Amino acid sequence: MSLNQLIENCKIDDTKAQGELYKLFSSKLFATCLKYSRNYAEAEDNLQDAFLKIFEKIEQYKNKGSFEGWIKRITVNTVLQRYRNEKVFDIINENTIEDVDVEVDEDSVSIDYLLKIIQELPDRYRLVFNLYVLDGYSHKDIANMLNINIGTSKSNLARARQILKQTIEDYKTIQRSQSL
Amino acid sequence: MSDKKHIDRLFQEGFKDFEVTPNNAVWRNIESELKKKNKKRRVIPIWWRYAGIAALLLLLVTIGGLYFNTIDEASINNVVDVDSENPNSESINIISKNPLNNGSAKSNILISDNNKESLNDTSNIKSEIIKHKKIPSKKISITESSSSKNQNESKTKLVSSDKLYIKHKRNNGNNAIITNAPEEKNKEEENKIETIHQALKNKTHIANALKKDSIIESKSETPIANSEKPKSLLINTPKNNTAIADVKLNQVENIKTDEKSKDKKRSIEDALNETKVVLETNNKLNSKWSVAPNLAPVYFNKLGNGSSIHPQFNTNSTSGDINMSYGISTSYAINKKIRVRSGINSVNLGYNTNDVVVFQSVGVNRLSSGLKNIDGTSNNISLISSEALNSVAPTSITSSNAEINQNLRYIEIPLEIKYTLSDKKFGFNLIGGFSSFILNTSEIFYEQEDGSRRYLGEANNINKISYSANLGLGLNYKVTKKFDLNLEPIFKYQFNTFNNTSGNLSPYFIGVYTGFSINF
Repeated sequence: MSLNQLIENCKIDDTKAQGELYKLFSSKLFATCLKYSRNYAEAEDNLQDAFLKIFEKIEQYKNKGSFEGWIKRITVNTVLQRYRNEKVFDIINENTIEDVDVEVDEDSVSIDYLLKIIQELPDRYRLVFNLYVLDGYSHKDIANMLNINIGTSKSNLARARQILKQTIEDYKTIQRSQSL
Repeated sequence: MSDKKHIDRLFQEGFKDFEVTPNNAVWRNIESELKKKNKKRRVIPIWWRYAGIAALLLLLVTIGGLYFNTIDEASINNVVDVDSENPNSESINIISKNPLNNGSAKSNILISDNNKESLNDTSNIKSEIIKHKKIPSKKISITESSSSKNQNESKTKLVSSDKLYIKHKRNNGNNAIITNAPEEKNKEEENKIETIHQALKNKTHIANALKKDSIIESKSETPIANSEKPKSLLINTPKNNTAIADVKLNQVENIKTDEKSKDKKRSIEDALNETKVVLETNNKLNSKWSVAPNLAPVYFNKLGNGSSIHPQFNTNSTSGDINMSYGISTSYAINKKIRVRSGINSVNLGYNTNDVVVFQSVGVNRLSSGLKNIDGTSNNISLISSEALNSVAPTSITSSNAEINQNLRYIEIPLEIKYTLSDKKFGFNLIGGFSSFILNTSEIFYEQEDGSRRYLGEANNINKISYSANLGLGLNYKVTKKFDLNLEPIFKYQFNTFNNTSGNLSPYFIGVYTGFSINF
């Protein structure tokens, strides 16, 4: 069955088609949820909410643009909706952190570890970092999506990078001292 | 030594083809949500709409009640003033009339012996009038009713009977004589009363118009004297009777004037005061405050699909527990329709999550570790939804048909408005408001199919403070004025109960509050 046929069947609430669609995309979307959420359990909740929204709105999908892009946007929006209202206290002025060195050693760091430290970021830093770095949204888009200033978005991103870098470096230091 | 690399690239490359297969339970949840979606989408919005309408109505009724009530009170007060003025002035007229008739008393008494039947009639009047004097508040109503009778009757009779004409003329004559006599005796009193008479003039003019405009041209007192007389006249048409009526009235009045002439002024004031007091007390509510202890069986369950324990139980069926609530409330009546009440209740709530499998687990199982909302879960016991059982291979199943009981104990502080729809022996009220809940304890047990019940831990996702919207009906039966029996089924929809729920969890409870209230 082609993807288009599957989508059409989902539009008429065909349970089997919905199951197929889930099988096709759940792994990718769950990865997105994991990156954007605070932990595994919340990622599961978000994935569930996202799929329910996808099935609810699939009628509105008019075969314009990629279907995968469409469902990913829904997923990201679902997650954003959950965390949007949670405030992050902005301590850092954007100017002071604009050009900080964020190079790290290219040692292999496990994907699980990367995921862990992303999830541990404060909500808005995590969202901005994900949107900008991993999903290629512009600061302007991010500002709209999160209902913040562009400056705040930039500042949040810089702060997120800084925290991540610091965390990785600390982690490596500990590893090195342990191996010695 | 490795190269330096921008942190963005590190993550971009790391997550390039990042895919994670989610747990099967997620799909199961989605599937059951989809199945229930249609029902739920219809049921809940309608419920909300009705609740919204009810809340709006209640608000309007409350505001309207408060607004109109203030107007009512004002208008009632006005009426009180008018009433208390008029009756008093009428009573004054009766009093002032007495001395007037003194002069003619003798001649009338002579005639009075002739007819015993009419004597009876007049003696009734006599007793009435005596009562009037002694109990001012009663007097008012009687004199008013009798005078209105007289007016109606005299109106019809005057047209048809010539005798009445004559009678009136005679009365006039009497009055004419009388007016001179009392003025000598009671000039001072007359003066005192004069001012009140003037206020009454309008009324007496109307009375005049109803009777004989041309004949009655004497003082303002006379119409009332007349109005008393025609009454007896009309009942017993012959001349004699009317004369006797006059006599009797006069006799009665003579006695009274003897009594009253000494402290007439005081009695007027008393009458004023007393009538005021009587009228005021009539308008006041009997009891503003009431205290009501209550006891209620409460049924706790949830709308929607979700679990406060773990997402894996979202689709499991739940059954409500019947528990008890008890407490005491006190209410204050803002007006006859609206009461505000508050109080304090102790509430136990509980519900069961069914279809749970209990098994002994070795090491850490991801599903069991997922009971994140419970502190103190024992290490070697795992509980999973029977639906999720397929996805794991448990080593040893202890119980395959267990339940998880969640028990909550709250202190409830309600603030409610009770709107009275019917205020008879059986009262009928609408109740609306909200409650604040302070969490006391929250325990989670699991109960195996053999009935054994074990403590699992304390829930850590229950908010210390939560709220509910309350809507209910109140039925009450008045045993006495001070003592009511109550029966109030109330629906309480809870907000903010859980802080980390999965799925769509809307807890509610229904309590049938029974008790009595003491009004004071």
